[in-house]
Amino acid sequence: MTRISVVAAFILGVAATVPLFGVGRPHLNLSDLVGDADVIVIADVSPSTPLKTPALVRSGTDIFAGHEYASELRVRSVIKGRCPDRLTVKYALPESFMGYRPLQSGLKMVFLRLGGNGYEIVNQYYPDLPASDEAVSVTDPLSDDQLVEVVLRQFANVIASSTASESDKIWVLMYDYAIPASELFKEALKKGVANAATQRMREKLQAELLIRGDLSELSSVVQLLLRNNASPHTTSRLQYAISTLKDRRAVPSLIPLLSSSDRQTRAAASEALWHIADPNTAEILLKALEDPYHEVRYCAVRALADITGEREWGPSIPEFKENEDRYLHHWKQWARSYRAR
Amino acid sequence: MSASVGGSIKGRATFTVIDTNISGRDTVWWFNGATPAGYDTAVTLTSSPGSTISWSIVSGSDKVSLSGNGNQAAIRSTSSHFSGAPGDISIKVTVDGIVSNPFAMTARVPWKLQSLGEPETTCFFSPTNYISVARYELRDNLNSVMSTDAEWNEVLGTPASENGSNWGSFGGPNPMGAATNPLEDMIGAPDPSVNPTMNPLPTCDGQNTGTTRYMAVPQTIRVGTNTGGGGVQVQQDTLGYYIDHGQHDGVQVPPPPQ
Repeated sequence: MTRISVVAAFILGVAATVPLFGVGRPHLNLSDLVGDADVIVIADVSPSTPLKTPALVRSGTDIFAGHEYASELRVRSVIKGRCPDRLTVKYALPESFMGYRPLQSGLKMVFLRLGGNGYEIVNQYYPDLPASDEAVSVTDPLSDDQLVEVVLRQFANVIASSTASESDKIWVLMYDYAIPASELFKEALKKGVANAATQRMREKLQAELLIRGDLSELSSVVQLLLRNNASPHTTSRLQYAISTLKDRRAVPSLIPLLSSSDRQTRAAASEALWHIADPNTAEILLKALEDPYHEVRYCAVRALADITGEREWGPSIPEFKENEDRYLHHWKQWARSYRAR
Repeated sequence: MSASVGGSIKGRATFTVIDTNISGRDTVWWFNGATPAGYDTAVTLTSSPGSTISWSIVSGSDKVSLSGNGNQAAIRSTSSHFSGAPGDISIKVTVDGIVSNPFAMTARVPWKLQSLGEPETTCFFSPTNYISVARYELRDNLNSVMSTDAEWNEVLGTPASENGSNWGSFGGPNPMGAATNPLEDMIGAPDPSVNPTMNPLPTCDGQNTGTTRYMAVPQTIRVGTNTGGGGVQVQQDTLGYYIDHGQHDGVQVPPPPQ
């Protein structure tokens, strides 16, 4: 990879390098993306063609050696601005990886601005976003907020779709931080679970529902984890989703997970029980003090401290590591009086 | 917080109530010299005015330092110890002989990255044929999610070819950092279209099934700034490049801050 400062590029060419530190991919900011675009379209994007033309790619104050590419767009809907039904977009990519990516082929939302060389990509980190094949009709110009709503509706359609590619669905799920909590998206996730073509995709969508506080797939996820039947590529995501639960209604489903053979599953369930701090779980938490995995024991101690209000017996992690016996002893003593009541 | 003096006086009398208040933010952060927006690395506490003012740390003097100046006090992390529970630091002020109620504070520091699941891999034609994204949320010393972006950076070691490959000879990735919550680390193999002598040639179907590692790059991730090497270390690992995906191998979480 050739990375050179803008000034050095023109004075010294590619021989001069700068320290290899910089800023990577920023988060997707939908308001900025729609605001910076002159034209937003939903289009069938052709595979990009390398133009064999050397190009310099700018990133902040650095520029990189790269090459130019072109994609043809057959426009289905124009969401913002005006453009012909078919258009060509040219863009440059660096020779090696720095986070910029090419236009992906297929049905996409593409964000463009009009530059000196025609239509240009607005944001090379996010040249396109997944789009659904449901028709979009925009007659009047939309505000930026309305445009964001259109994008979010497209995301929901992709997730719910029975025909969208797994890759597009995964892209949408990776933008979860940009998708606000809404019933629209939850409903899309539920439809997506029903329409999922693979177990892996279904489990990813189930995890997303749990993370968003929807318990409709909880029992199914619990069964997957208890039977160690989850896809190896989604198990830790499902465990993470379990650990985020804060709804007391989840308690009956969480308790069996404390008997899982997978210690990370037990840790996830115990973390959720800590967050929920339901007094009715005291007995099961006392049993969890005997768990061979220290994270489970720690979460049980913290949960008991929260449930009883004895916060001084809910130590920090370093304190627990150093004096675990003291805390376990306290809660076992407490158990005697609790059980005697 | 406030303290008051006064009393019950029979008959007509002047009854004076004097409040001694402390106001200010209740959390102080430490980022090893970095100062990310949205996190207070120095907190100014303010008391009621008075002619004789004395500040003190009731508990937690190993966690914060206090520098009083009139009715203001600057609170900073000592950087050696941090809170074990929210509000376990107590500050008080005495204004003209009136002692305030304790003002509870918390000293926080970034601790670790919590994985959000297995890396997702998507396929491209250039400048690399796969991009795997490892995603994390950032947790502090109390294991709470740090929801405001704290910025991150990485420092990378020398790429090493493994298992008969020559991938390491084409150079490693550019260290970069970006936003946290989530922290997303993109891992892309060298580009076979630019490096046609790559052996073996990477493949991609998005399924992350490869089990043989062909390139390894030591990685250290810090948070608090995008400047490489700055901030607080929250993870050490090896960037592992496989035939069809990348991932973080041998993840080492720092010990929990004391």
